[in-house]
Amino acid sequence: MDDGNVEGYLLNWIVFLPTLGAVACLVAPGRRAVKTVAVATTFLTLLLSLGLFRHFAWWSIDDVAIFGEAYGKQLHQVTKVPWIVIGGLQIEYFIGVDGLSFPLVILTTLISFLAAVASWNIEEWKINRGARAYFVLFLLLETGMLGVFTALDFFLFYVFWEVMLLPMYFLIGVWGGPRKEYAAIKFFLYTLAGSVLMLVVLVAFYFKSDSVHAATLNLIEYATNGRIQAAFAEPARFLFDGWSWPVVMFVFLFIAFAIKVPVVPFHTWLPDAHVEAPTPISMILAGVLLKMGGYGLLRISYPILPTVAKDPTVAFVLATLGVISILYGALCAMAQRDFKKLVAYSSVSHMGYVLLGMAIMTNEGLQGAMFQMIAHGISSPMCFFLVGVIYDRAHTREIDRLGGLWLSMPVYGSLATLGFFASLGLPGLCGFIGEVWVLLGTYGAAGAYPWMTWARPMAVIAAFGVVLTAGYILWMMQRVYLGPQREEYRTLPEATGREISVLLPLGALAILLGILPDQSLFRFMNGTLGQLVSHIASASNDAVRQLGMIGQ
Amino acid sequence: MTMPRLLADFWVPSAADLHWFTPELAVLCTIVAVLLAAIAVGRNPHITAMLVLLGAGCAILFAQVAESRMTDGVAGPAPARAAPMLIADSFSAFFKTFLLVLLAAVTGLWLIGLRQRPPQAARLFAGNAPEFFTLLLGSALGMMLMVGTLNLLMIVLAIELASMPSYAIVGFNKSDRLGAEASLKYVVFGAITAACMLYGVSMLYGLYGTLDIPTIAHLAVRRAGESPGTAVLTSVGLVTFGAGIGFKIAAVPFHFWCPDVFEGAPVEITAWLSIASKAAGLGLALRVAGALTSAPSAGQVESLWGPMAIAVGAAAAVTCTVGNFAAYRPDNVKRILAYSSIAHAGYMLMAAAILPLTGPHGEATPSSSTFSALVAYLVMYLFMNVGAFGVTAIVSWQTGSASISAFDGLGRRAPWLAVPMAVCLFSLVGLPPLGGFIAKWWLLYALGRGAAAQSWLWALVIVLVLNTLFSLYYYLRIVRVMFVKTGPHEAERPPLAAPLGGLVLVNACAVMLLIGGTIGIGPVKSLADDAASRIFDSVAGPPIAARH
Repeated sequence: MDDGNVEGYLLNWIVFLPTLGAVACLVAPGRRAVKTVAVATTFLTLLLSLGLFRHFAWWSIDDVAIFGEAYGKQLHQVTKVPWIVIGGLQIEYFIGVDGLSFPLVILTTLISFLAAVASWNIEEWKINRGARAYFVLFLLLETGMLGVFTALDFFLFYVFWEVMLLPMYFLIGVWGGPRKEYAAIKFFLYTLAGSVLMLVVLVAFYFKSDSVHAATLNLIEYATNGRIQAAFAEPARFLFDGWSWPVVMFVFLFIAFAIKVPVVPFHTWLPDAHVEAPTPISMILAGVLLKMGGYGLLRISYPILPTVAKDPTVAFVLATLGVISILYGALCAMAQRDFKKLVAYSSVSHMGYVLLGMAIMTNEGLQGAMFQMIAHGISSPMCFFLVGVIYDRAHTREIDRLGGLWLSMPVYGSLATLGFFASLGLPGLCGFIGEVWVLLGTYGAAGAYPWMTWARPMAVIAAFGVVLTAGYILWMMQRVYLGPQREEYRTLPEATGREISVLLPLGALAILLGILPDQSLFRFMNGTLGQLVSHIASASNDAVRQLGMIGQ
Repeated sequence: MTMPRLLADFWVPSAADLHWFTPELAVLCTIVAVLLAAIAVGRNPHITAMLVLLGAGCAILFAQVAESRMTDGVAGPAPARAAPMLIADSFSAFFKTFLLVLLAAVTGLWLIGLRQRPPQAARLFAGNAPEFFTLLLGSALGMMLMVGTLNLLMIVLAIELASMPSYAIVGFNKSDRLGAEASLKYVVFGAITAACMLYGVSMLYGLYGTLDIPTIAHLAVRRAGESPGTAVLTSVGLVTFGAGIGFKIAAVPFHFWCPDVFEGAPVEITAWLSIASKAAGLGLALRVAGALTSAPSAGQVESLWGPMAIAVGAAAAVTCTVGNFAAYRPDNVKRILAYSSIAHAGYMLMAAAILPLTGPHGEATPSSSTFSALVAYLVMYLFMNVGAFGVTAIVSWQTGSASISAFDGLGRRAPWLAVPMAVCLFSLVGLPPLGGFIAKWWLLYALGRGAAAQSWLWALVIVLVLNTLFSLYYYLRIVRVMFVKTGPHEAERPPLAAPLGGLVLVNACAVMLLIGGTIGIGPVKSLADDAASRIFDSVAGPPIAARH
């Protein structure tokens, strides 16, 4: 394994094809050619990523062959070659997919393709210059996103994570709405704050692993190597006397990922960024970027520092933050007058379920959290696009000024209903499964971890989030889509073929995931998630005590 | 003293000794050639510039040849081989090459400025080319010597040789009031810190009877327990001596000259000072710190030099934080970049806080990763700063102002200037996949490695990454003005005509940063490791009789 291991180049093509597309966009002649190249590139990447399905052939229920016997044992499409070998340091170019990353890779390529189609009308935007630069940055962003989900070397992960920041800053800052500069720099500063803490953890992990083992940056190695795990769990002193090394690392990583998720105290960048970004960028922000926080927690925090995750105080704090996100996000959404901001806050609320599901560390919890990530990744871009369609026509996002749109645009109205009900969590649509799994898992968490006595009350409180969600979405729909037709919207054009072609796949997926959750999604993830749960559960139980920083 | 007696005692370096110092001699000859050419063929700026470039090229060649023949750190001319006044090793060879490459870049910028400057200033610069380059070469010579010595007197000499021409060249444009003010401030500060430095040197000499730093380290360790007064006096001596080094790198609290001098100086000189004086000062600081702490009796190392490391670390942390926060206010890009260079000096100074230590497996590890971290950082820093100052130079010459508003809408007016500027600025922040991130990474690597034995270094790690965050804002201000800001005045701004040479220079810097951050990570690090591989080791063994 040290000389390099390349199982075919498909994944490399998936990750870097958008970069090649960006270069092609730089030299393409004319605006139309640029747009065509961009859409073609994203479509091609989507097709290539569908090629990953054959590894996860769910019709053969041989879980072990697909997911391996334990976490990290079976990765697919691995490319593991030494990248920088200098002195004692070896950084590998290590990418691969397993049950955790595979659904997210598909989601990324799909949403990127749909967002590229949604960007086709860039000429009609308020700021319509620089289409070439827009699509170049867009495609570079896609490479960054795909790289984050497939990288398994911490340094590589960090590089891809940061690579996303620059294009996003420009995409929001140049082509966004009225307060775009403020939103862009807020996004950049906030996310960078989290990233730099992750950098500290990166260095710390490397040198800690150096002390017991050959120093490595391999994320799988960190999670599966017994000696490294023992060294990481040891509550050594970090800098100050009361600070325990594993807890500090977990907290730093949590802050970094919580900013992305986003978890309630760290969520304030989201409404600004989502609202001011142009519609396709909002789709990508909500659909993919938010999932990176959850993915980071599941890939890095939980497998590598399971003893800290199982600390009762830590689990309680995380679960509480999840519940607060659910309720606070929903309440904020209810108070919004701006349509897009309402959808943005609904994202905060939905992602609260993800954190809650992870905090309880049971099978249902993790499965629910992952499902909710994918489901939200389908419903949220759909909702943002729906808002964008209205904004393109009515040039307003004020809910008070909208009304009776279903009468003006029947086809659009039907698709809008589908999208918003998916966001609401109507049974039969994708949003329901994730929420129910998380809530049921939280309700029964005390079965797996008896010290989680707070789990049952928390599940009941979180369930109110469902009511609140129904509240704001139904109320919004009544005000925007139902009601008498307004004079000024009588002549609004119906949704065009392009817009329907963006909404239909998302709607179809929402239905598919709602009706056949197992065949369409759970099958592809449950193997890895189950291994993760047992990995966390089996983390040295005698080391699970009140660790230094919290609780003493 | 009779003549024969004098001649008998007179020591002359041999040819073999001088072989190692041909780069310095080449620079000396270039100065002479520049001055003579002015008399011989008349004052022609282009001839002068060509001579300078030729001389720099020869010196680089000599440095590379000398380095390839080096097997060990080589002691230079000195009557007592064990207490040399000059040192040539791979570390100093790197710095010589570095400074000369920078000199060539500054000369290139100056040549561009000949045509781009406002006519009055251009005439002044063109007409006084020999003087300009004499001062510049003198400063370069001083800096080359700074990194090649461990002798207290030689350090003072080199710092003064580097500083004095700088005082004059900062105020070169005599009709510019701001430049004259900058020059005066520089002189006053430099004089005060030179006095401090000499005070420290005299104190150390008085205590230990020698000017050789490794010997002083040796004696300090041996006499550490003698009396509390010795330790106090040694610290006072070292701290005041450090004032001189701190002045060159503009570390807090010796940084107050930096923004005003950078703002008032001609922009090529700002570029020169921001890179060269930091590089030379930091190389010297690292060498001195390494020499002080590599004295044998490792058991006493931490107790004796531990406080010094913590003091240097604290100074570094304060420097970068102050530099970053102070950059929020100014509107003049040269001033912003001045504060940014203070911050970067702070980052690099953290390397000096990592002492040779006992490695995680029990054996003593050389601090070569620290030296190589500094070298790698400087390589990237060179490109970042040359690119940023290059664009600033062109914009300020074309628009007549160096304030942020001069960069308005540059993304549309001159994309081939704006994009490299953005690349350089983001590299200065330290974002992947650019070279600046790799520079910070190697620094973090060295700090993390040191932290395995001295866990307080984690505080420096956290300060470093937090400062990366703090610095984002002011670099982003410039990027925002170039690309993001939309305003009503946009339509009236005419496109900017940039000279071809300038475009080539800044775009080359941007490309080097992109390469350095991706595929060039390995080569840069091996270059740095190479430079740090053969460092002149301090003398081990019984103390040396004070003969110099």
